[in-house]
Amino acid sequence: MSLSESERARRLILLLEQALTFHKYTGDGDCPVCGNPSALDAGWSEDTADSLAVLRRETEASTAFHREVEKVDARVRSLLSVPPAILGEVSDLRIDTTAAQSAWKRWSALGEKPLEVFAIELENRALDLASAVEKIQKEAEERHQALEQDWQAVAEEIRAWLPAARRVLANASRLKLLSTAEKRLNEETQAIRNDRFAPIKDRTFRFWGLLRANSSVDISDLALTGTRTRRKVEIDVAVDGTKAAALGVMSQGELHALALSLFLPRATISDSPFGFLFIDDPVQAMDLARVDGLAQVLADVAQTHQVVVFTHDDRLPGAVRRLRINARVLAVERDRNSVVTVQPRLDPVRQHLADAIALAKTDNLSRDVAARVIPGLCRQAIEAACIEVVRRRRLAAGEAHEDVERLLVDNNNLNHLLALLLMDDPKRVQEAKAKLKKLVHPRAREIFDRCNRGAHDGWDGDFLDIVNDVEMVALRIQEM
Amino acid sequence: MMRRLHPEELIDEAKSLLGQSFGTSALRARAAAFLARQALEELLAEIWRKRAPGTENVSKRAQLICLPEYLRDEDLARRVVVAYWALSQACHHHAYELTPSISELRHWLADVTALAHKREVRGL
Repeated sequence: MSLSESERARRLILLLEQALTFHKYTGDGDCPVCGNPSALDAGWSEDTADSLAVLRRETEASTAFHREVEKVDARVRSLLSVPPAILGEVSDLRIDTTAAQSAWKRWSALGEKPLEVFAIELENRALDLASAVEKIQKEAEERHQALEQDWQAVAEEIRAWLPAARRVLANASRLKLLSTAEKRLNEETQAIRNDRFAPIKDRTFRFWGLLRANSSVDISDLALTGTRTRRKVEIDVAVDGTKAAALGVMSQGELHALALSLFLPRATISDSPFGFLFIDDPVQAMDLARVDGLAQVLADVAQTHQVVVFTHDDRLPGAVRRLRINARVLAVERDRNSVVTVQPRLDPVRQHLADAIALAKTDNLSRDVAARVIPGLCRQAIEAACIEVVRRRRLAAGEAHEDVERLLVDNNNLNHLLALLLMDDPKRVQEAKAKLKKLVHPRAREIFDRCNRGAHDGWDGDFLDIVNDVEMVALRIQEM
Repeated sequence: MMRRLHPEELIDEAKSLLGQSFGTSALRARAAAFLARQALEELLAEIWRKRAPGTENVSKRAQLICLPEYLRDEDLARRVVVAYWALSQACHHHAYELTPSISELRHWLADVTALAHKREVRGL
């Protein structure tokens, strides 16, 4: 029974019920609706009551059915959801959802259809949707498993790393404390190092001041840099006021001087267990002014340390003597078969005199030989005395080393040397000799002349007497 | 007056000094240097007296410049010049020069000896 049929049945039931009630009150008669004579009677009433009962049963069943249909319809329509938003999202899972989306749209579109179409299409579309969803579900499952596997490896690493990470987190405050402590320690170390380096630095500057001589190189700063095993000294150097890299611009002599300026303070640091210092040939490539500086630097170091210097350069002993530095000079001589003798080295004047006396006292030396050699040694003693005094006086007056040395080389004749010494003029030889006689001894001029001549011509007389005379003159000159 | 010694005698005395044992080696080297220089000066004077009289009185520097011309031995002349200046250095007090060694002396003495052997140049 369709809806309209059941409505008709309902209205028919109302009509028949009213017709029966009408008959009950009015009794048998004609039909009030169609006018059929004597249509309403007891027989009619009975038949109609039966039909009414049947009709009522059928109508109730139909109503129940329709109610059931409405309920089912509502339930099914409630399932007709729109496609879930996630299907439309772009994901990095790379699953194709277009089929599922269109199946779902077709499924939800059913809601607009009348019941007849709806009922017919429902199953097809539901199956389509189910298979489309199932397909992407399966794909998603596979992706899930693959990701799970990838993750597993990482998860194990994380699990292994985690306890350590937790410890670090737990100890974070201690780490911070330790880092601060380490930083402080480094700062303190640097401060202590700087404190200890400061006296070295001061002495380096002072020594360089003495050793630089006429150098245009200035050391502006000295710093210890680097950490742990990579430490170095940085030397800031300026040449004529312009900053430069030290090694590139300095001469060999300057580098030697710089090396000594750095090395000596370091080697004689107060907590060093060594009370002595050996230096092999520090004079190399140094000019005379620098050698003077070196002698002063070594004298400074010798205040606190024993200083032993080896050199084949006589300029250092010369500077030591001239600057009146208290030093012991030893001559190391190698004779045949490498027999080495070490003897105190006298100043040149006394050395020449000592040599002359030694020869004069040598018994088995032929007199011919002695007469040819001893005068030469005597003359050298006087030469040495003159040179020493000229040099000492002129340097003290502020003349440059090289000027004084050139003057001495240009006047290597003993007469000129004497004139240079006594008259400040190498040409005034006669005046110088007269002055020598007056200043030194009445016989000084005679002794001087004999020395000067004898070195070429040989000599008569008692050698020891003559050497004694010369010694007197030479030592007096040396004391001037 | 002192007895005059011939160049050969001076050279022999110098060589024998080097081999002796008195004093120090430095002292013997210096003494030998004096004798060697005198021998060399004697030889030069001898050569000039025979070859170019008067030249013995000019400066030593001038004499040494002229020597190769008369010696006719470039190499020996050069060695003699070197030996003369070295021996002169040893015979004067020079600032900051060290005493020559025995072996240096032997070397220069050998050069002086070689000059002495040029007997034809010396007119012997």
